[in-house]
Amino acid sequence: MAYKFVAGLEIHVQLKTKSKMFCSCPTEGPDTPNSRVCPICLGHPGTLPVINKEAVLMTLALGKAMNARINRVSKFHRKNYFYPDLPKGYQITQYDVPLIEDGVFVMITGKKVPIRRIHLEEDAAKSVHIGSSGRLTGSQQILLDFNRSGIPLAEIVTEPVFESPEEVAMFVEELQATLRYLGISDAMMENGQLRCDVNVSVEVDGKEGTRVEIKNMNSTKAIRQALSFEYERHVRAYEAGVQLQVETRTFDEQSGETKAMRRKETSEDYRYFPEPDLLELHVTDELMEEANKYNGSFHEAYKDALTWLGREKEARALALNKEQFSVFKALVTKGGDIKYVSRAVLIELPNMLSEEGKSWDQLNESHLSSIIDLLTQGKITMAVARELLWQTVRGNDPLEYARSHGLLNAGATDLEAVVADVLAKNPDVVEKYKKGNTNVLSFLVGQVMKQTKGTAKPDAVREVLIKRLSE
Amino acid sequence: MFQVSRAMLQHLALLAQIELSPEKEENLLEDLNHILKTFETISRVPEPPKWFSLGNTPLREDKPILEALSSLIPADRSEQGYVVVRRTLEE
Amino acid sequence: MKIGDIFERRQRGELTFQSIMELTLNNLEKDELLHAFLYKRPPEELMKEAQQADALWDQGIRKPLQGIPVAIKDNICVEGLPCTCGSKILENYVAPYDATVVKKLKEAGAIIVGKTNLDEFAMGSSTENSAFGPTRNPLDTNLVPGGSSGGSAAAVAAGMSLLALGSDTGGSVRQPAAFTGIVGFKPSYGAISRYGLVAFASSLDQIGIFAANTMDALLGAFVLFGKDPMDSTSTEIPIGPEPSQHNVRRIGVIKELSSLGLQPDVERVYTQFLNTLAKQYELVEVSIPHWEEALAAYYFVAPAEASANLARYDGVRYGSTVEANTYWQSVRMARSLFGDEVKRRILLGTFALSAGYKDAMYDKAQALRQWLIYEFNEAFRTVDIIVSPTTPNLPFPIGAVSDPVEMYKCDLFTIPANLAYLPAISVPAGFTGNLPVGAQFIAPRMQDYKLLSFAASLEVR
Repeated sequence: MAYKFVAGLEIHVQLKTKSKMFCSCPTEGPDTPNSRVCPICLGHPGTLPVINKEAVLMTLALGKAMNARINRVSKFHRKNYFYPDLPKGYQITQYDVPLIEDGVFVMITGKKVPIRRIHLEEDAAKSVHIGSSGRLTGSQQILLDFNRSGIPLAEIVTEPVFESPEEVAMFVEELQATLRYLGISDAMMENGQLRCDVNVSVEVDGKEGTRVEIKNMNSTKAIRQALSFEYERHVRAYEAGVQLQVETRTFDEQSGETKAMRRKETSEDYRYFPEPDLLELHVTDELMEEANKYNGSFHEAYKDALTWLGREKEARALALNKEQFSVFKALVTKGGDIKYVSRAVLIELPNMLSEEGKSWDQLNESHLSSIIDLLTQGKITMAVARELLWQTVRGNDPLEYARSHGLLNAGATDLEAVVADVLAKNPDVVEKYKKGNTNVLSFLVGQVMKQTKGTAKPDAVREVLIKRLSE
Repeated sequence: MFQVSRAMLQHLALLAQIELSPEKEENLLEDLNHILKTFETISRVPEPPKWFSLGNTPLREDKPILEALSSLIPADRSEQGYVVVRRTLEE
Repeated sequence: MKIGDIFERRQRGELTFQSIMELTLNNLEKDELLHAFLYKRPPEELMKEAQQADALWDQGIRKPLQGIPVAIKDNICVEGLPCTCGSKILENYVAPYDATVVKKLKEAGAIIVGKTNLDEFAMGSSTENSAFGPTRNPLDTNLVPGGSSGGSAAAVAAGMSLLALGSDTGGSVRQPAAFTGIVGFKPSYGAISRYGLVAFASSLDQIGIFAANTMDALLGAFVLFGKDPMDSTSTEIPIGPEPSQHNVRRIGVIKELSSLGLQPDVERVYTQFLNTLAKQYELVEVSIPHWEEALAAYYFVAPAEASANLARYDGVRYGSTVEANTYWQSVRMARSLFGDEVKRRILLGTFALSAGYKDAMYDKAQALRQWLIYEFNEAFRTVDIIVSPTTPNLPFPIGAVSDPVEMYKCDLFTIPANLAYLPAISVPAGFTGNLPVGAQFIAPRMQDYKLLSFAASLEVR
């Protein structure tokens, strides 16, 4: 039998507004539970919602980035259900007329992912389950933090066009990057800024399979694992002739498996109806224009990266990391040689930053740029450059450091004198060389480099050494 | 044409999270069906000639404001600042 | 005494705000029997505020409602005061913020006397559905004052406040005004901010004003009107502190009303009232074909919205809590504190929205609402204002109406204005014996000023 993986996504993205969707409570601040709440986001009697303009602009920008249709008149509805994290007993969301419809996201592979809709809604409170095992099943109580209640969410719904777990993961990575370049969300899965529910089924010989929804994947790695597990589970069931359940499953990171979730006690009938506390949302030309302020583009970044790096995989990797890309771009724009910039930004700095526990945006671009300049002009060697990069990462001024440590002016020191000195100090090694053990040459090169503090060019050192040794 | 059965009433009560004793159920069935019968004329309403709109919803500037309101979370129902509720999953 | 007269006499030194408050406090003794208030502020506080109002006046400070005692329906939030909505579920709830109308009243110098009784969550037409006992009609204490804002109506009718706020979703200000012989004004939808009014049916709810006369109601409207950034459905509607030229010439009399079963006493007084009107205005018959079905539309739209609006009462964040093993049990037990009428409407509304029924109920009700709007628009092409009785019946004895549908029919004349977003006012039309009959005037949307100016001109005459 032929099996084919099929998946569609529903992605909730927390928008990076300063205040909440329907009230003015701050979205950022101390993590003290329930410190950013007001009668509105706690669902007190008599309170009313007012739409945050910025959330609308950000969603419009996303719609534009996906070449979608923007509904100039859209509506908000109430989605009715009871749950402890839902203060009003209904969620304000969009239903029959969402803000955005019919878009397309073009992946780096060239695959076109149709976007069915993007709508605006409000987040629920955050629940912390406590109990004997600290796990959901043993919980006696739920602790609620309403700081998250009312954070604006854009819900993105794709058509079911994904053909492998890897493809889903890659889409999510590229979507994250898109949101970050636009500047409308930090889209970190680890802290719930981006939450991805996947509807998975496995076609058997072209026949539609049982659809299962997978939740609670907190990274793209988890997506890969969960969906691969689920694919294999379906295939095994079909092979064994076992009936699959239409259900919602949750991913357990520790076991790497998906597990069926308990059914909610209430039956699901959300009784959507138009939210009477809001009027129609009209997208004026002015709003369309204003949304253009969110204009950063992952795809543009990728194009640049491809021009610099030539290879698609490397270019995608660089473009996915907005901060790294931005450092790369700044250095190239200032005239840095691609070869040196690549070495510094793609190889050296990532390790240094992770070792120092620092991030890209903490780097001083003009310092980096001066190091690249020195390299490009041949004034320092790669070894010195590494040392200076370390200094930059640690927050020191690399030029200052280079000057005070005499690291500049590569090749300008009197190589002949140093070589003579090294040879004089190591008569036994010289002896070995002369007996034909040319391997010791690299030791001598190292000694010269050490004495010149790395400012000498290794090729030049080698050349002088060979000349003197053959005399 | 509008008729609420006992099963339907129980379904509605579950959706609305309202507990009904058997005799309450009886009374409500009677009341609701009486009300529904009175108002069943609604089902014959034809499509109106136009739809009126109250217009364009206002949009708020994205300015965070944190009002210092005392006792929004009563002490007797909170723990370390969290609101405490009983679990949702029934064993 | 009109509020304007109070200010004039204050100016002449013939009275003080303290003397007005003393009078109010005297009248408040009647509340022992009437039970118009669920919460009364301590007399010392009230006298102190009256004293401050006098002191400010003496300093030359003039505010539109300076020193005027007002009563607030107990479904409107006043910071620091209880807001029970007449329900066990909010029995111990203290509002953490001021409704926009309350802010405006305070800024205008009004003195809030207390919170008035109502049918639970404003669902009812008699104020008998309060979890804390009924209010009695000051004109005859065996009778209901109407509802749901019966407490506010009784407060003004008995001189326990000079103005009172109510909420009018299907007639809850106009009908009790008619039953207690005072003026009750429901503005155009959006004229007064609903922020801080505990929602019953959001697309129909509108805060309304009770007053002894139209001039006072107009002054109240002048203070309360205005677009509020906290209420997306509010809008700027012109109003002034005093009546203006109203230019009303043709008054529409609704053709369909003849078939709607007016009580004979009501019909007699109403006919006399029309005859008086006819001396000065041209009465023209107009047709609102869907008037009677409006009641049906209302009883699907209002409960549907209510079923969602009342879902927040789960006992989790505020309100009465019940200890239980699971969240679901505790929610159900907390919600069993709702009274029968509230449960009835929540279930009816849940039904009207539920899968498989929404098309036939909620959606059809919206269609009917659109018909009404259309038909009123057509009618207002030929007339300036429309008149009707406020209620089909006279105030009835407490406990006399037990059939919910009979109770719903009390609002037969008031509901259309809510459904069509129109301003409407009930004014005293006359008496039969000691019982008042109210007449209702309805104006085109946003023409609240014209409506009030017209009604005020009738009183001058």
